[in-house]
Amino acid sequence: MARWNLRVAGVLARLLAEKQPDAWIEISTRFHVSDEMVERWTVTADKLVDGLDLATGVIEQFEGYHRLEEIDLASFEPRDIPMDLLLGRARTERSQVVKQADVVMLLYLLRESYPQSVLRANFDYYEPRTGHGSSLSPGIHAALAARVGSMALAEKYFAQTAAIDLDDRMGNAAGGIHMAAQGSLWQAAVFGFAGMDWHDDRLTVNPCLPSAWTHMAVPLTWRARSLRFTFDVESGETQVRLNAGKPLVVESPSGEQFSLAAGQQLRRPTDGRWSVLEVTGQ
Amino acid sequence: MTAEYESKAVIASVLVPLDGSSDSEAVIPIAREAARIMGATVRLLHVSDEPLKGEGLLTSTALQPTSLLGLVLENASGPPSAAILEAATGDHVVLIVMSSTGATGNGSRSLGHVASEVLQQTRCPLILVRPDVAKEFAAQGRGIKRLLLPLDGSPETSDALAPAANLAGLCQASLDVVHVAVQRDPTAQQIGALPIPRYQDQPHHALDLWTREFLRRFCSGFPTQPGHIRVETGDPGQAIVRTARELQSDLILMSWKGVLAENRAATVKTVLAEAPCPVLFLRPDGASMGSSGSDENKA
Repeated sequence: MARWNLRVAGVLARLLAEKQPDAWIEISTRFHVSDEMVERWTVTADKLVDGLDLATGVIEQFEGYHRLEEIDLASFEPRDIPMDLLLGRARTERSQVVKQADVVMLLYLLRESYPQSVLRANFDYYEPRTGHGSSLSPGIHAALAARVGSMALAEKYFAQTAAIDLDDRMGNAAGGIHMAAQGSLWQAAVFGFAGMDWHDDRLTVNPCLPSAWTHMAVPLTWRARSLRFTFDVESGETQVRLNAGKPLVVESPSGEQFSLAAGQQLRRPTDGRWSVLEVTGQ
Repeated sequence: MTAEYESKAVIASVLVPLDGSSDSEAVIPIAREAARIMGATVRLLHVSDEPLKGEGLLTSTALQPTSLLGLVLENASGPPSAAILEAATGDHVVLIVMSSTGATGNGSRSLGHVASEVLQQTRCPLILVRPDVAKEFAAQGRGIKRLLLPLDGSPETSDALAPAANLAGLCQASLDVVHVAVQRDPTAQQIGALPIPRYQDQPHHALDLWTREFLRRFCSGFPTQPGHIRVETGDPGQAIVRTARELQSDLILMSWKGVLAENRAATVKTVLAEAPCPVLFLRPDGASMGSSGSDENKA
């Protein structure tokens, strides 16, 4: 994550210096950022290690993590309290139990930077070691599980996340809802099950909805464009409609790219052939 | 079974069953303290095989006449638990105080069979105290200044908060609560349950929020607000005992009804065996502190 932050900061600094030099001078002066420092960010980023084992594809949570005590979390199920309360702080710190999505979160956020095999290997490795002591954890697991095709786990974690506020058993309902958990729930639905994603120049879509779902519609605003995604499980039909905004490119699961203008929709009917159509009615 | 009373109590009374053993009599100072707090009279009920009167009754106990000052000594004969239960249902008994083991105890059991039967059958508030704890209390001249109420998040145990707070007010004592979180909480699904949060995004804040919610839901308007609200994990009985030791509690309040069969009531058994102080049992469906057994029967 630090490596990504440094690289993106370098890219943005150079972009700002090129496109808006006055703004860059003001910002770099205020924050004492020299050109040399920006170069050093990139050099430092290249030197950072991420603990990725090329043989297994697993990223070590931190150095020495693999040598910690393995604890079979499944043997504690069903349970109603966090693992660190059950095990105690000292034993938790000596074990491989992770409170929440850490490497899984990293790979979810940087899913375009790693091959599918790495996402899969790490999800399979860390999912059984995660205690989900944070409400932020199960939603991200649902999202990544859907991306790597573990649909049963994706559905389980989606339901678990939804229950955080729908099922008032947290003893803190008066304090409000768990907003971040709800955010992860939305992301699990949209970036997980609907398989939507954004890139520099295009959106992609690759839906795989839970078996019990029949229909899903997502209104979305992306870079001043108003879109609506619709998925119908029974008919197998997928639609991406651009309601307003500049034209954009949408990529199908097979890698085909379609340019959409406002008032057009990309449609995959039951025969599976994607095509761009004019929207005839609202 | 027959019962002949030396004197009929006409005001609220604290019943102390005796069997002639020094263990059973060791609880009298605790009963005196409870009676003082509640404005009640201490009734010593000596249960014997045959009816006793006068000098015979006095000599059947190990008590000195001077230690009986201000107390009522009575005799009942027959099966001990039946005699105690019958006495507790009449004559305005507001509390029973008895040793957890008596003359027939073999020293290895934390709960004698008479105390066990009374615990399971009475609807009257009951203080059980081990003889060693009772003797220590008497030696130290301890009062009841710090109460500990164990909860598990269930509505049933939470209902004990009101009587606990009232008792604390009566004793001018502080009230501590220990919530014992267990791996699988069967009460968590009950309506009105308040278990420990499954997720603790920031543990300090999560438990702080939970505590505030707990106070809002259960303790609004109480004369005595809980001082400490502690969250413990592990074996519930051990957690309660550990907390009572650490907080130097003078009385543990247990909201309980059930049976003491083998493999059941493990928490109650552990607390009775290891508690460093007397244990007050309040049945969720029983009489509250201050209401008499006879009143309960009328209801």
